[in-house]
Amino acid sequence: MEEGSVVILIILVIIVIAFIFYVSNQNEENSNNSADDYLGGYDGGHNNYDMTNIAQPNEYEAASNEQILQIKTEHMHDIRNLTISSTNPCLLVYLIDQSGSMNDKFGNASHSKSVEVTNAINDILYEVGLHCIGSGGELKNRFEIAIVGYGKQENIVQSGWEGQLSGKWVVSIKNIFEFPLEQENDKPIWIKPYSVSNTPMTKAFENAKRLCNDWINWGNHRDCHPPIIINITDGAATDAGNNFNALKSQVEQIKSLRTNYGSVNILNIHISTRAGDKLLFPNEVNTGDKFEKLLFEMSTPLDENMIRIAQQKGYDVRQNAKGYVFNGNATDLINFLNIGTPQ
Amino acid sequence: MSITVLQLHKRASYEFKHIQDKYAINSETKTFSLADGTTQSFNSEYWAEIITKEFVINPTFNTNKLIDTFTNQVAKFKSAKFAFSSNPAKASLEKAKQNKGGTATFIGLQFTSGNQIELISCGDTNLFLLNSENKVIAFPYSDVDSLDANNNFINTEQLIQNKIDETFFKTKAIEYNSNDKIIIATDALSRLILKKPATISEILKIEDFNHLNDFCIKYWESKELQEDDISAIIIPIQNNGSIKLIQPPKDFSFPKEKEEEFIPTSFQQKKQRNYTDMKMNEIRNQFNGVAQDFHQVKRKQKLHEMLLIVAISLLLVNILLMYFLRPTNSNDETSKNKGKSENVIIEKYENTISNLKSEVQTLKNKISDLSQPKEEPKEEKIEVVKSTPTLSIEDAKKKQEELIKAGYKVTADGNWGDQSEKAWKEYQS
Repeated sequence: MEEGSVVILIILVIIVIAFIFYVSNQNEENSNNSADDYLGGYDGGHNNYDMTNIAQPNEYEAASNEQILQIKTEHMHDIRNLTISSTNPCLLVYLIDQSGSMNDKFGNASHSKSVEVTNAINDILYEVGLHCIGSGGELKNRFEIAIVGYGKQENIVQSGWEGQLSGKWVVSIKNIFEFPLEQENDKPIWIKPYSVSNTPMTKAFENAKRLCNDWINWGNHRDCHPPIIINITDGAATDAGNNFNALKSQVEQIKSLRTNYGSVNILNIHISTRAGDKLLFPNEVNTGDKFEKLLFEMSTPLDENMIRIAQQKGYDVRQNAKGYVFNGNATDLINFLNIGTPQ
Repeated sequence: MSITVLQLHKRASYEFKHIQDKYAINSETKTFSLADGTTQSFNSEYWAEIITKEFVINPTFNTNKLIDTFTNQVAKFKSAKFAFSSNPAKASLEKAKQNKGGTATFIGLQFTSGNQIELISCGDTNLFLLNSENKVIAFPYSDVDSLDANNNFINTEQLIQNKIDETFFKTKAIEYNSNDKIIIATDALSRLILKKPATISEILKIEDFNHLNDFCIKYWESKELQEDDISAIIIPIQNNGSIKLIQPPKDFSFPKEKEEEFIPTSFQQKKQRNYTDMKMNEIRNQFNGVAQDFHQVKRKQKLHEMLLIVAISLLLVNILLMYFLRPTNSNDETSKNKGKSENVIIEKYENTISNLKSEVQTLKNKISDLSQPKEEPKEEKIEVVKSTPTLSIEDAKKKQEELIKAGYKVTADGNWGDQSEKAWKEYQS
């Protein structure tokens, strides 16, 4: 063999060896890096765990809030061109106060506020079903519904669904009619009345916020009617913080959520044992009741469709009227829920 | 020119058979009707069909008469058979819906003498008269807001309870010119036309189903057209009475959307985070165990890597050594050895020849000395002769062979040297 060939062969061998060493070093470097990452939480099996590198629940929630605030404002569509359908469903979130005070009588009625609210919710679910059943008896998934109960246990917010739907947060109207709790007077019912503990309303709104955020970011829901939150309560939140700041903060975050058809709607119905002083879809409140003012401020203005339905139902509703009812009677309660349920 | 009927069902209905808009045309009486059965009412498409057909058979623009006509048809509607669901909750809904009756919007028109059209309407199904100057007359609603504010429908239960009166209806007579065109459309298309009148020219250009489908999809996708059943009747004033139907073919259907149950993801994560301290410790211990295993595996992997590198390096070194220390070609080497031995022999012979030459020269010198005698050198020469008696090569050879036979170690080369002389002397003695 010539000398030149020998030199080339030697160079090749050197290159191969250098490459092998390079690859080996790279692997080592990578494994060192991953080991560093990994060792952030590991102390060699001494059961001392460094949590600094592990995502904390608070960190997650902060990220989640950030994500909520980063939702893009896209081109808005005309809500009048929107038909709620199985391809473009709507999310309804009912927040139900199940605190002990709900055991008091509802106005002049013989039954409690919790019974009144429960009956109204069962009726409205039935009404929604009527909007969704087709000519052939098939139920179209035009609505997805969450029932969130707060105050059934101290400081606990939980799904209000019962029976086979127990523990579920959001249920399609199709499944709602597949799994009712029971039939009463030839009509299905889904929930029963509870009036037990305190009023963790802030937590309930925080849950509603996450439900709405998840729902908006699911599938084609950005092209759907914005979710509607309907809060039914009889009193002050026990977890609202100083000057209700915690509650207000949650509500403001909810209001920043939007689909291409507008922002999330928040409607409040404030039921009281007091007779009279009825206030329906006001443009302002001046009663001096702090919590009444808070619930009014928390409520979003009624949209065009809601105003139309309210007017059709005989209410004197002006532009920019807010989705707030104080001391409405049973009919108002049902009508209010109907108004909050776009057709 | 023919009368054109455009119809396409909403995508959520999938198939044309579920369309709830119904129309009827009586070419003889030049009467047209269009009704939109509402989705939420019971068997509304059947109710819409009944009232449109009844109108073109017995057209009337007297509101009360029309209410009576329709009320008389409620019995027919109610007698229709319906199979209720086996699911009690759904059956309950269907019964409730049946109790609420069928509901539809309605518009009817008839061409009368004196270039006039009689109109009667209830609800948000609208009429548009396009004149030759491209001006549009709309009836009963001329803007979107008033159309949306409509709250009048013809409901079977309200009819039999006499809850529908003349306030539910709007009537009008419109004059037309021979070049005018009339469009009657259900609410979704009417809303689009009111909002964007330029779409009228697009609608008039629709000639086949594909064209209609493209038009609807385009405006549905741009969210300018409501996702609803689409129906329109285009009536040129100078029509020949023939009807052109633009409807989906029998095998046409919109794809069914994939129904996915919405699962709130953040709730699932929250659920996973709700661990007790005991559970956390358990997870931590498990994690530490996995960590130890992982480290061991990593160490082993490193060792394997090193061994592999060493093996490869040794292999390469071997290859190099084998290359550099490989044996040369055997043929070449034997020829070289052969050459070497040949050279040694030649060298040997050359030495012998040179020795012989020198001896010959010595002998020649001696001969010449003998032929010219000198005293002193003669003595010397005698001594030399004595010491080395001159022999011919053959004699020397013979003597040497004799010596060899006698066991002396001499070479029989004919070169009689000192060693041969000495051996010869010993032999003789």
